[in-house]
Amino acid sequence: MSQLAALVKVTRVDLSYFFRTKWLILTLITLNLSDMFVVGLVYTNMMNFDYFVFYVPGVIIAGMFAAALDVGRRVHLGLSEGVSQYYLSLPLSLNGLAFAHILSAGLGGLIFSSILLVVAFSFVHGLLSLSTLAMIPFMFFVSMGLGGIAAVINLFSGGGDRFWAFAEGVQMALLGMSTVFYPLPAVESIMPWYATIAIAYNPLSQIADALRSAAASAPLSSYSLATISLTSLLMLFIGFFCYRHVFSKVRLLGKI
Amino acid sequence: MNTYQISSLLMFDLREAFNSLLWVGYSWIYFLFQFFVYGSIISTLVVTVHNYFFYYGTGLVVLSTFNIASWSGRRFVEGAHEGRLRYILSLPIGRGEFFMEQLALGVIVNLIRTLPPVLIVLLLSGLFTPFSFVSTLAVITLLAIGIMGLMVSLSVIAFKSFDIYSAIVAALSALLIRFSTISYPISSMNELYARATLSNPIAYGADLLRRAIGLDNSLLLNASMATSVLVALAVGTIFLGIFFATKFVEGVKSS
Amino acid sequence: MSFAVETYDLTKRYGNFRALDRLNIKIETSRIRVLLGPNGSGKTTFLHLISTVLRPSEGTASVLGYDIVRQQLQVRRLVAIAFQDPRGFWRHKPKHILSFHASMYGVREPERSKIVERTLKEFELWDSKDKKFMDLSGGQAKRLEVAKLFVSPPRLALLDEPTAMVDLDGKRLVWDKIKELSERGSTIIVATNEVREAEYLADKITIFSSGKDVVTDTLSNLKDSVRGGDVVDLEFAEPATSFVVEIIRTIPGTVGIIEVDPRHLRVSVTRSEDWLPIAVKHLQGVRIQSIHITEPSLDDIFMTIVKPRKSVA
Repeated sequence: MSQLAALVKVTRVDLSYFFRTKWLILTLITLNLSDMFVVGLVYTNMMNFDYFVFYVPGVIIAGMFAAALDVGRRVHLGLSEGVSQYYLSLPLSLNGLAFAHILSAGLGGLIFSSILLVVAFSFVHGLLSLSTLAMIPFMFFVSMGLGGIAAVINLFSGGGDRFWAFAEGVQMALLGMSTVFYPLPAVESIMPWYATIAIAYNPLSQIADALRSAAASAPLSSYSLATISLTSLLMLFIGFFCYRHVFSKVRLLGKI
Repeated sequence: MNTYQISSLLMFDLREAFNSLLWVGYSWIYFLFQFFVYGSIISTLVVTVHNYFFYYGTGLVVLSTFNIASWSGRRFVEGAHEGRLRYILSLPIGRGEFFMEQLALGVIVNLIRTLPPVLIVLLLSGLFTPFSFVSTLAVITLLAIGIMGLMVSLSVIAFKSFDIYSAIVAALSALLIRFSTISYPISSMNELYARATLSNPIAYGADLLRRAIGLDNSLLLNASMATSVLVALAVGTIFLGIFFATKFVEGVKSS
Repeated sequence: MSFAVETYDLTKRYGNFRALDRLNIKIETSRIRVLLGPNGSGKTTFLHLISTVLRPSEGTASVLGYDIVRQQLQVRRLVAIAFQDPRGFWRHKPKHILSFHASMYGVREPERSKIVERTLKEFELWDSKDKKFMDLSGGQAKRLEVAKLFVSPPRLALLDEPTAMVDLDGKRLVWDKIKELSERGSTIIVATNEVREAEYLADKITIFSSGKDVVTDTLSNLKDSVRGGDVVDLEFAEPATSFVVEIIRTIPGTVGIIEVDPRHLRVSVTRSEDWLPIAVKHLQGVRIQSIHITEPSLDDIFMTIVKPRKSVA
């Protein structure tokens, strides 16, 4: 079996675990849709702009994050249940294994957010456009970057049950410190300048704002797309080396 | 009633619940971040609620109670699958007593975890008085008993399947949290949502807590109605939970 | 004779599957009864039912005079169980687990601490008393599970595969402690699929198969009761063909044949001294490498009774 074929197989197994757990998919979809159609609509009544249209792309990105992290959580389970040890016994390089796990998280996040996007097409009419379709590769980049974050969490959560705590903490910090749920001017009115810069360059802010631009038929900023690609690539590489470190340690010690 | 045995079990469970300080610390950090970052930014956007920052902070305390109740139920279901439940079931305590112990565990954990957030809201809003503090704790305890009773009862029904329990919690979270006054007042909702919210006991709990703290009550649900609903929820779920525990709970094949 | 356990059509169903099927069994007080059977034969279900961890689907049982359906709490005050796979208290330390267990049976301080210390030492767990449960080895966790029964000896002690995952020294330690518990007056029921454990511990053995008790007797009576008093091991130079098996089957006195491997047949016979000369005559031309005659072991009894998968007879 070639390295590529082995990599594809590991990715498929990771993904099938995620999508086979139907209750989990149903759970995530229910929560995200209720966020869109209850929280988004009620907040619109409390604000003096159409928060629903602003909020829906944010929910799609938050859903992508949750899905990518959940695929990463399965890698964590695999580490404690011996699945990773089994993978290490297969004719697959360490690089291949690390990349396969990040790829599966990226695909998981993309597929899940695409489901939400399809639902959103019916309610935020501007979203159904060529610009949005052009965003999909960039959503995939971001999702891969989030897979990289799952790898970092895997490295730091060790063999215990800390993955969820860390994952929720990172999710809270990255979503909270972004423009996924609120516009940049609101952030600027409260936050110091350095926090505002961090929030503006957060890839989650970038991709959510790009989706909003697409929905508003505004031209996509090439600067913004380049930022999305670069920051996602950075997260992906960091994650790749984290997984490499995790698996090297497992190979050396038998466990993390 | 095996008081000595029940208190021993409670102490044993509390030791486990607070064994990992990470979780306790994490819940406080979560509150601080949500309150001071998300809460303060979203407050600048909300124009229909005066002092939305503290309105939101109080909602976070209720949300935390719901999350701890979900944790209590999840712990029960996990215990069933990890072998903890069958061991407890082999011990000389009644099933109903065991349910009450689980309920007490959830309420104590909830009080410990929500105490700092409550103090922060009370002190920052300048509404701290001995009366507001005591009444706030009383409402949280009552609310916690009701929600814990509900979630532990559900876990007692769904204890044979982790998937079913998770699906129920997700559905409840979608319904009880979203269709409630945890994050927004009933006056901001359309008629359909408002009707759903009026049949949700958590909405009454959240508004009663705001009254106890002393927030502007013009947007809140009626206090005596809210108290009645919460007492009914607490008493109802206790009886329901004891009934389910006595009738249905048994060991589960370990996974 | 008084009985610690008496079951009346005790049944446990999971959907259409009957884990225990109308079991009627009596277990004498102050004895060690070993339940022997393959995986899935209903032993664990039986222990969980009489400890009231599970509820019967039909039928009931009397445990030390109390009904397991109507008087659950009274039953639990007198019974304690050591489970097959001790899990669930990952973050607790052995000393806390034992102390908690003792407190549940009403043992109070300062007596409790002394008992816990003594028990941890007896089960060679003293050095690990401050480790978290999740950091114990499989054998240590299993010894800790059995040790629970010693901090407050129950009138009926149930042990589900008490020495699975335990090393040889540990097995002997656990077995001796079980015997000690019996000598102190407890009735013991041990479920196992380890024949050696049954031979070492049992006053009486009950063999389980497919949710039913197939037979109950003392070890010596079980050996005598096996159809065929002797076991003859035949080793061939070449794999035994179905023709050879057929010849052996037709020899007067052949009771059963088990294929140990292609060149090795184990034959249960009524009397080896009568059977062997006839067999040698019938098998002329077949190259036999060796012949061993033995008494049936509990292994043979077990294999004969629960219908071995590889039986060719």
